[in-house]
Amino acid sequence: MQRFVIRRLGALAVTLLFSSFVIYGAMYLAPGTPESFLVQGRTVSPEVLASIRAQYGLDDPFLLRYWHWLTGVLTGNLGESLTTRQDVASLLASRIPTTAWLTAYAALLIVVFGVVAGVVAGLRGGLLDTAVLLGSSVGFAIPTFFAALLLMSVFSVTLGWFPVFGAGSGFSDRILHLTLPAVALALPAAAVVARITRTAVVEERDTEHVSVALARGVPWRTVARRHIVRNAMLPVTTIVGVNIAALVAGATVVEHAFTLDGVGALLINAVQQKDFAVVQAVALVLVAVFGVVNLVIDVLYAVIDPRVQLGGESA
Amino acid sequence: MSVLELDDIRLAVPHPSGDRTLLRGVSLSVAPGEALGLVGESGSGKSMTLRTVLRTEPRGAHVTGRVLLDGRDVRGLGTAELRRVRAESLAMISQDPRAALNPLLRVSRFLVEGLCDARGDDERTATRRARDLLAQVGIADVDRCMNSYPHQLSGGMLQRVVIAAAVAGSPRLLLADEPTTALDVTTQSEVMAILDEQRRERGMSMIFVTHDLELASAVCDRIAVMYAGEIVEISTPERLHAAPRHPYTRLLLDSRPSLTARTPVLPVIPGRPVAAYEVGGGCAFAGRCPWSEPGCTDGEIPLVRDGDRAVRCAREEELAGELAHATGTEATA
Ligand SMILES: Nc1ncnc2c1ncn2[C@@H]1O[C@H](COP(=O)(O)OP(=O)(O)O)[C@@H](O)[C@H]1O
Ligand SMILES: [Mg+2]
Repeated sequence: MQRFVIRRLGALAVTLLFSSFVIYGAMYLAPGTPESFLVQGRTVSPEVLASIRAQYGLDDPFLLRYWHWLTGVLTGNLGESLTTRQDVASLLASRIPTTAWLTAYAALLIVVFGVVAGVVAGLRGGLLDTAVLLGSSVGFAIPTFFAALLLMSVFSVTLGWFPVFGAGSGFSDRILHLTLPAVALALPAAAVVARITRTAVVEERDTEHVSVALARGVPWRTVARRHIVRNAMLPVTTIVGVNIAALVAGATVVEHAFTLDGVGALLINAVQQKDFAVVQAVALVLVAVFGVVNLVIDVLYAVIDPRVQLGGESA
Repeated sequence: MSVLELDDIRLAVPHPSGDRTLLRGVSLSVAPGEALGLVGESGSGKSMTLRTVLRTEPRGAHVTGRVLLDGRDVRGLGTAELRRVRAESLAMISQDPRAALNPLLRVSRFLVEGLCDARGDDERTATRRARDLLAQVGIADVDRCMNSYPHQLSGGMLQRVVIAAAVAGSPRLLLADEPTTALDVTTQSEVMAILDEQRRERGMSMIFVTHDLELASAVCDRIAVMYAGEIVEISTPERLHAAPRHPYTRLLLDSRPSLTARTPVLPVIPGRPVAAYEVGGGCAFAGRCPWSEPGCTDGEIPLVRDGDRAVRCAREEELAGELAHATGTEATA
């Protein structure tokens, strides 16, 4: 287990290095120049432009610029923003809480509504099952941005139950502010999770070991909990994990729609302004979170299924 | 009084082209301490018969007839009573022990759950009892076995675990459905011996399902031969071998590989087994029977009882002498 985790963290570091290089390259090749954003449409003399380019090292060769950035990161310096001259680390630190709260809230909604609805539908069948199937089809079909607008216009504007924008401060205020964004963010994933959970439960209900347990006189509730739901959690763990990891990316759209000052909104601005250091830092954080979430899922999978040997030392 | 009495059990499952009959009136009884063999080709309805006793037949199946366990009709029990009967009076041993255990849980959980969750014993007593049982079914390293997951044990070991679990609550009746078919040839006889020993020690009755007439003859007091969803003959192993009364039994006896005759080809019964729902009027076996006559396909042929034996054949009396001898060429395909 320990060796597996260490090996996976090593692989994650390599992935981070590789992806940082690719993103840096893509930014470099993309049209537009940072200094044009810095001068904000004012006419400036070529000499001034040249001095700006020199100040930020924009004329250095690509590899050299990447190398400067990389050595900075390795020594704990994420650089500073081209546009605001702020330290990237403190900029990130100010944005992370909103995104972290938003994605954690959405993840909770996915687990509670997706998994619980799927389990209930699979175990009970009947009308509840039909309702869950229908609801998940709708939830899956609605694009996140549209869901965001819809929720805002109904619950914030018309009913006035929730604030329209802002992330709030303090626990209960945050929850209030982030409820609609989290719902919009969680909706499609919860729909997928509900459906896959339902299928897994139905399949598990028909296995021989379940009918053996019932034929031995084990009470239905025990069989449902210990044999059906527990075993169905194997495929569900994977799908929940993949969806939670993907939330970090989906948060960008939702933060934009609800004008939340999270990491996603920061990323959109930074890309538009070719703010290299900020884009790189945000990308690193996103990739790292994705990698760590996936690692946690693999470990969890091995905890649930005794047949899985971490590190592939034969099952 | 019989431990189990099946009275005219009929079972049909829904099918797009109308209900399909799988059991066409199965009647049999099992006396206290008796082992009854249920023998027949694959698809003849042996497993389905056991499932009507446990009430684990496929969803949507229509079942009629009575299943009397110690005189009480199992088919009429409510949920709570059925659960009690399953926990205390019946136990099933199925063909594939690997499918019978939850792959995610330890063997100890499987054993304890049958005593604890099903019967309401306390966990400590149940654990102690589970360990004793494992030792009794010949498992040397009880600790290791208790802590193992199913995939860490061999099929033979797992079937011992299942046998231990089945006899744990000293049920009235064991339902064993081809308990050794899925095992290695080398462990088959060992597991069979353990099952037989455990059952005898506890004086439990058993229905032993197999397609192997020899095996059934070795461990059972009486044998019921099934064909196309009904019983065609019931007899003791000795009499069944010496003087089978139904042509199908005769051909089953002849179709086993003989050690003395050295037949170059394994004799098989000519023709295809008939499914219960395909049977029209008269004898289900008539189409494959070397002794069939035009009259065999008319009317319903009853199971005629004669002391502790019974046979379902329209020509039973005429053929009695002839069936006592092996058929030789007719049976060789
Ligand atoms: N779940 C089921 N639904 C419908 N038909 C079934 C089901 N299980 C078995 N059958 C059919 O019932 C018949 C008897 O099956 P079974 O009792 O398993 O035979 P045996 O145990 O003697 O080999 C077979 O024709 C089989 O195809
Ligand atoms: Mg069978």
